[in-house]
Amino acid sequence: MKVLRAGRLWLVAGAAAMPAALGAQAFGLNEIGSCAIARGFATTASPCRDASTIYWNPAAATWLDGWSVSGGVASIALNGRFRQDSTNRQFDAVAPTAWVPHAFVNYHAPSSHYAWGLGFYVPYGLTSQWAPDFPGRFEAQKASLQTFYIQPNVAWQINSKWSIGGGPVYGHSSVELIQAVDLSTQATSAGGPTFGELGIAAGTEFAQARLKGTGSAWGVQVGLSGRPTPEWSVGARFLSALNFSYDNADATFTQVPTNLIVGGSLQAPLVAGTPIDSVVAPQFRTGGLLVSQQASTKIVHPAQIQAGIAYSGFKDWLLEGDYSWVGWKRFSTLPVTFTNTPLNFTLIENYNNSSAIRLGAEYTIPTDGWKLRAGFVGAASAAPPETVTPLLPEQDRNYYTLGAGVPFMSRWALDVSYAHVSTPGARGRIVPRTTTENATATADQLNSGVFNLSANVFSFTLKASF
Amino acid sequence: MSRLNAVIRCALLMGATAAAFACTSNDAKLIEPAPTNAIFQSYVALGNSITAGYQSGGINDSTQKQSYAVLLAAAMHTRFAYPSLSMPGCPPPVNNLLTQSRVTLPGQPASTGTTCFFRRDASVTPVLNNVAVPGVTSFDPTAPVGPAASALTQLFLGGKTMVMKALDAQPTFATVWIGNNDVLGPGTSGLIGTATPLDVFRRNYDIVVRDLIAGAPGLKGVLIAVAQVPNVPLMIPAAAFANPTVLGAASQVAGRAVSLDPVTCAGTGLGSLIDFQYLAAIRLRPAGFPGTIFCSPISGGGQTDLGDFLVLDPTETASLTTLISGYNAYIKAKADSVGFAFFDPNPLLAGLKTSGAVPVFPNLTSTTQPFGQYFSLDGVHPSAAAHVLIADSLVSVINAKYGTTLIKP
Repeated sequence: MKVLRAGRLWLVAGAAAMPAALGAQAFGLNEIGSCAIARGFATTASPCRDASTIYWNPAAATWLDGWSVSGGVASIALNGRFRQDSTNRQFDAVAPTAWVPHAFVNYHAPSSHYAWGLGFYVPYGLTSQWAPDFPGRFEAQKASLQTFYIQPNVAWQINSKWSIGGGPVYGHSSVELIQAVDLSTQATSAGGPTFGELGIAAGTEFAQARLKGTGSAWGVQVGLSGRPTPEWSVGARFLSALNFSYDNADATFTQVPTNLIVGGSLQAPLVAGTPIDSVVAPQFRTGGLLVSQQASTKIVHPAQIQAGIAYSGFKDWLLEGDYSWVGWKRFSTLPVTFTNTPLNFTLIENYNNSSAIRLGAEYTIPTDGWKLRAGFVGAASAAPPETVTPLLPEQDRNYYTLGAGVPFMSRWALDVSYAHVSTPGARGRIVPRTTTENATATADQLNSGVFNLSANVFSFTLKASF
Repeated sequence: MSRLNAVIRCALLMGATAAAFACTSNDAKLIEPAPTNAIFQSYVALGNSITAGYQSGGINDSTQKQSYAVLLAAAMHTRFAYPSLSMPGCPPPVNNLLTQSRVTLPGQPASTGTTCFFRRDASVTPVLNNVAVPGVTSFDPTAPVGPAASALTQLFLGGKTMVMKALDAQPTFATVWIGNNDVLGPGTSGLIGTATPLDVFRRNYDIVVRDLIAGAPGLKGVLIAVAQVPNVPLMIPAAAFANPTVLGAASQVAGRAVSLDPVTCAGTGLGSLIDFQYLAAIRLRPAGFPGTIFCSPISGGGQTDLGDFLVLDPTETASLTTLISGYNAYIKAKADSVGFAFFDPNPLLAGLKTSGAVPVFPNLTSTTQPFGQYFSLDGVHPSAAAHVLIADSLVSVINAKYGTTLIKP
């Protein structure tokens, strides 16, 4: 008996990495600067007055004077659950709180048309984890994607009203995925029936797969910033896609006892009374398919476009509205290859490009310079109905944000923010969909429960200018 | 574009009103059809061939869908997964009583009694609601490899016991129809000494119900009585052979002239029940042997077994009926003790026979319904029509017990 394929063993290393982020669409993250969070990420036209503009609009770095430094962290606490149709059971996600750092430095000599800077930020990432009895653990038991971008930046002030800027982006990404492997999807022999066709229930865990690897990629971000009138500002930015290849990742497999006994004789070695575990055990030994080996995958971190318009004509108020677009359509498949090629699979994602509307407001208390901020974001799901999975239960999201900026010691300020992310819930699947399995199945056929997600995001940023 | 519009509308609305949880998608899409009553949230059916949907000596997806359990689940409006077998089945059902041919797919070799097509890929689900397995006795539901273990045991239960498999569904409601095979084979073969003794049956049955309820606290359900073997259409009263038409048909099946033994079939001997397969056994006798039907055991003449084998004489019938009644009395008491409903199908099945809906002797001119519309071609297993009657009866029993409002299929 030969196990031919490991289901979607890991479903994705990459995709792998992204669920529970819930910071933007799909596995995108927007938690880059507490001021921006508080303003509902509507900060492209009139960025926060700190060096985080290197991300939010590289061109606007020229509107800062002297040295600007900022750094901080956002904590993302995810509340996720899945209610299974067939049992009506609810399974809660157990993802640990994610900590997302950011740091920027910018210098603009007052007399210069140029500004120089460097940014470190996390525009994509994810941490997800489900309990051991979660029926979707074959899609993802635990996933961690940690990607950071480093962006040297230069901005040029064309004239008193317009600036352009940008810089290359270096991205580094590490991924770890732990996933249960389903015996029912394994073939019993070349061209033979699957164990499922011989009665093994779907969701019978007989192995745990772990994939761990790193990758790097290059891209670019550019921006345009304008102040056509004293009250109105406009801006736009473009961040290119970064294509990460996670080559030579380590793939390991551990046998998990099923404690099943063949209930009636079929074909050898499936003879009545034989432990199933002894039937599959050779696959974990030398010469078997499920031995430690190398694997690779590719995950595109898609391009982003954001444009906005801001108005500061009301005394002490700043209002801004932005439109954001992310090119998730590039995330159409996720190929995973192994040293043992029969294990190869390609996940079908078929994401769509997605859009978001971002609205933000900031009020400055005239007496002490405190900033009070609030915002709202409505983001459309990037995933089609058949790609709502435990790895990434993608769905429409609303963000409700607020925060404050507290200046102190003349050159310093502390920004704090809170964001609540809510979703309406979405039907989703806990079974795989690859080019060889469920490829043509519809969402109605695949989805077997409802995912609900929410998140609470706390962030602080300490910044200074001098 | 519509997605974007939705987002924009949502954003504008939120911006204008600051209302918190407005722009959500249609919640109705998120809700699965609800069962008619919460007790039917997860229904499991434990049983043997009848519950599994076995008909005409075989089982496949077509027959599985006709099971009373499937019909009952539909009435409950609850999800019901069964271990659907690929066509033509495992084994494929017989489609001609006389030739014993079986359902065969076009272009495939003729199916036989050992042909076995496995589970449909789409039926490989985490849990099953119909966990019945053809052939099981009261010994099997809690045994990893029971005495009736077969390929279907593995195909349906996947290495677990029937009770374990049922508990996987976290059942809120269960029907249990176990015990038919403790007496069916012994009854139709006439070897009633091989039937499960009452005390053993009680012990086995108690374990099944105990383990089931222990694994699903609060479980509700129905315990179903064992069918009286003498009522199965396959068992033909010896007296029926006095009818020349029946005798002619029987001779056709036996391949030679059939007659009743004037000694053993005299008097009370005419009350014996002859398994229809007795005629097939005669057909297999060497040429020259007479087509005599013996209504009780004889000795000598190389025919010692006939008259014992495949015959229930009146004494055996009485003993078997008493044994089954003992089973059923225990099942009813068990149902009462655990708060389950109890359903005895025997009045229904007997009524079909007395009403003439089940012919005394198979109508050999009908290739599709020789045992009438309520029984399949094997003369033992209910047809689709009978499953409807059973489901109807169960609906009445359940409504009466639990105050529910299930509608008959």
